[in-house]
Amino acid sequence: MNKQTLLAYCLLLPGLGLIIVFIFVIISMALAQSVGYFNFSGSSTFTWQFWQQILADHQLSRAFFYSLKIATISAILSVSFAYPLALWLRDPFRGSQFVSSLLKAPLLVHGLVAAFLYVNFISFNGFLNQIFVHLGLVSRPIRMQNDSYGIGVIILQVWKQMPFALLLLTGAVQSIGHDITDAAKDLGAGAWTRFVKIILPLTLKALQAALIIIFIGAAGDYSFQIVAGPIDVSSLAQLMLRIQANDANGWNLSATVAILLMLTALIGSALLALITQQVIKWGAKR
Amino acid sequence: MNKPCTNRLITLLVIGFCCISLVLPFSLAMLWSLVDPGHPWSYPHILPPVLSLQRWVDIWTTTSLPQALLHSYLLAPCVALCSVLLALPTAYAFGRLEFPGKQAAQLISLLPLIVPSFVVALFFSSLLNVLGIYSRFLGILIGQTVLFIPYAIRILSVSFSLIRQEIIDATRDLGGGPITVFKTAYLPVLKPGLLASIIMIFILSIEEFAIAFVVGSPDFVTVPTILYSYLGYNFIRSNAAVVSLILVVPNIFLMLLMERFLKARNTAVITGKG
Amino acid sequence: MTSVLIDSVNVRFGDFEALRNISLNIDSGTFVTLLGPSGCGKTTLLKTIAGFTPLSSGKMLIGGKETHNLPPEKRDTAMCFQSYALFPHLSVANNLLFGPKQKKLSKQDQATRLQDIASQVSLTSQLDKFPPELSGGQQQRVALGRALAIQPGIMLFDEPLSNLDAKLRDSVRFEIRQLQKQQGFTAIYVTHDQAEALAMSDIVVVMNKGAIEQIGSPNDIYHRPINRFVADFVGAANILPAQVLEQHGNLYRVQTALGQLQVQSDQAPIAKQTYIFWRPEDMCFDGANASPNGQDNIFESRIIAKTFLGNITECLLDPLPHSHDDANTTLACDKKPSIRIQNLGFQRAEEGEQVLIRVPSSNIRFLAEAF
Repeated sequence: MNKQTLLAYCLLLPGLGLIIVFIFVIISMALAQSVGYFNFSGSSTFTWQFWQQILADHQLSRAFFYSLKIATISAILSVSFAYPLALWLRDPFRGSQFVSSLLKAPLLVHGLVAAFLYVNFISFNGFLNQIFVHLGLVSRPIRMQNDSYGIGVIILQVWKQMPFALLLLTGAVQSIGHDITDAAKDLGAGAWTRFVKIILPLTLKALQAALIIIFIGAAGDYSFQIVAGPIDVSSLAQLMLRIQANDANGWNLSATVAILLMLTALIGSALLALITQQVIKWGAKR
Repeated sequence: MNKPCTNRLITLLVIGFCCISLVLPFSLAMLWSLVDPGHPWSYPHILPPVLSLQRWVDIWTTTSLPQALLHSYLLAPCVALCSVLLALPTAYAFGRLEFPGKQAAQLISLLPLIVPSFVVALFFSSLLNVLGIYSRFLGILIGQTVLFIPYAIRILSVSFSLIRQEIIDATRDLGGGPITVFKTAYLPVLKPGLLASIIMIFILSIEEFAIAFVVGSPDFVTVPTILYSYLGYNFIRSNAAVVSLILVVPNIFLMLLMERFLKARNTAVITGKG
Repeated sequence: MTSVLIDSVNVRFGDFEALRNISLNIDSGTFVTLLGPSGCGKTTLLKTIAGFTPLSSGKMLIGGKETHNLPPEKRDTAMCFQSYALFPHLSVANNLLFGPKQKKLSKQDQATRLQDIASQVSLTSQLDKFPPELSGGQQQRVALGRALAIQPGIMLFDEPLSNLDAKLRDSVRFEIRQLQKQQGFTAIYVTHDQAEALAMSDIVVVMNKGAIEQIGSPNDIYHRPINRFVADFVGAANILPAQVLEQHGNLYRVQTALGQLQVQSDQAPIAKQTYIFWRPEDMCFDGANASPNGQDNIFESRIIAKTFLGNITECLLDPLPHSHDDANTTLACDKKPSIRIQNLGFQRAEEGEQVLIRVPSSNIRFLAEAF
């Protein structure tokens, strides 16, 4: 190893080294606790009992499918809203700067604040209900908070994450030369064909990045879920924290949920990215 | 199809939508924070019957909000300073050196952003248990510092890469020692990046919820955890409105300040703040 | 086979007039070059024909059909981009087939079309590669083939050779012209390279500042330019302001900064005060062997600089005043010009040497521009 490489690796220690150690230790901690070590309430020995117990729990499977559903729908909806906007903002026009900063404003709003604003808006005597009643659409305020499908959570996720997808996609779309789209036009491709055959494949990387990040964020969501989510079903993060606080073997059981949550986030987002890639390749080849 | 005309129409639509999803909710929050405690605002009143600053006074005097503010604003500068200091050497290596495995290292540096934050928070707190660290402040400080190092690395390594070798060479060629080189070639380019990353992490730390909540609860309150306590199952609307405004408004100004430091760069891509 | 008729077309971008009152009639099957310096509007004109840039006023017919509101994808044009604009995510075969697929050709027709085009542009062995893996010349062929594949009535070329090195440029230039003759499409070719324009075209359109300066055959443009801009832009030229003194038949005597010169022209000058010009190769060093008919202009010059270019020798001359001319009659307003001369082969003359120069009167022409 030459001197410069050695120097570089030494320089990485305080920053990157710390990150690696930190994350490694935390994941090991979770792994160890999930198989019975670091048991704060009993003896610390190797056991599969916590895994068996949690995998048999129907709450877990409900939470798993719920988190998967919320993450997938949020990711797909966010990019579907972001694409048309990114294309529209591709060429600057009067006021486009203003519009794009307005669209990105939710990035500056804290998740809990967003959740509060939403709940405040739709709650039993919130603004929306007032409007509905005054317009005569309903006779009495209706209950929209904590809807059992998780629509509120999805709305919040999309509201918060769409700007992020927009940011990534605008950059990607703007880096496609006009000559390329002009060439496609010239060869007889209409707007939809251009989108499917040129724009989508050429922005695939950014699209995948947006999907992965939104998916992981939504799969691990706790705040939106607890404020606006359904009462009768938990997200994985919510389940993890609840088990930790309420169960005698809380730490060990929640460790299994944590591992499952990480696997869900990683495998789920990777699958989503892979499927997107296949679909887009297929669309471009056709 | 008339392009400018369609454009204007879509612009109006988008602005209208933003008003409904942004301006309106914030105005409602503002109104709710000004509702007089003695005259509740409920159906069928369209507007609050009486407005006053009583809520703000009440929250300030009867809740732990002052303490939460103190905690948050004490933690944030410490976290920002620690993260930036720890990130500097790595950022230098990423920005100015070539070495085997650089790309992989850059990817790995994003790890804290990929692992779900509540998993990190929970097992970090269990780690603190094992290590016997019981200071909440220290615990949160360590956790947030590591969590935010990636942001500092991203911003600073771009800064380092913007330093031009010719200017370093020219300074040395004209007889400048290491201090002169640092002042003329490094500092002017690094300064905006340093300030931006400090502000960025300051904001992130104030807003950070997972670690502050899991490690800090129940006795160590910060602004987000106190907001959280007013949401959820025991929803205290006016209090939540006040704390929301306290949490959002200063950060927006800080964010605008940071944008100025990073003028040419696309901040949100670097930070991916969410 | 498609003709293009452009009638009083204007294109404005805000306050900037990119095209001013352009009228142009392009017959089916001709090779037309739009020639001009950068920023003269030639590419804008090409893009309005393709349909990328809308007209501000005027009208345009392609194949006799009004093009107003006709989007690029509906026009019978195909463009070869300067940047090639190949689709980087598609293989060469799929790049070539992009157009035919949009035209909904059957699989079988697509296959035969692909084979035809690939052999025409010699890419048969590269079909499975992707554009970034190809050399510049090969990429250029893909761009050409991709446009040819939709069998357009009109091919539009936007400086297609500007990214190739000089040797390759010559051969591709020749190939494009061959293809055009074989396929018979109408070609509109944008370039700032006058040699390219002269070599390839049936018709050259010289443009400047958004307007057309002259339309004509390469021979016309080179030998009978109408004004100083065209004379100077197309090839090298010696241009002098001249005052017409007297006329004998087609022989004119004019006063210039070099003294009195004789001009033999079938075309009368448009004004008493006009410009004359001749090409550097239209004059020679053998002043001493002047023909006896007295119609050659002979003057003495000093050689300022000499450049040997292999096939020719180029010299910059400083003409010495005619001793027998009245100094008052020379045009005082004009400072004494330098003259360029190009003669075949290696010339023996040395820098600083004084030589006798001969310009036959029939080689000097009037420009249709007064001053």
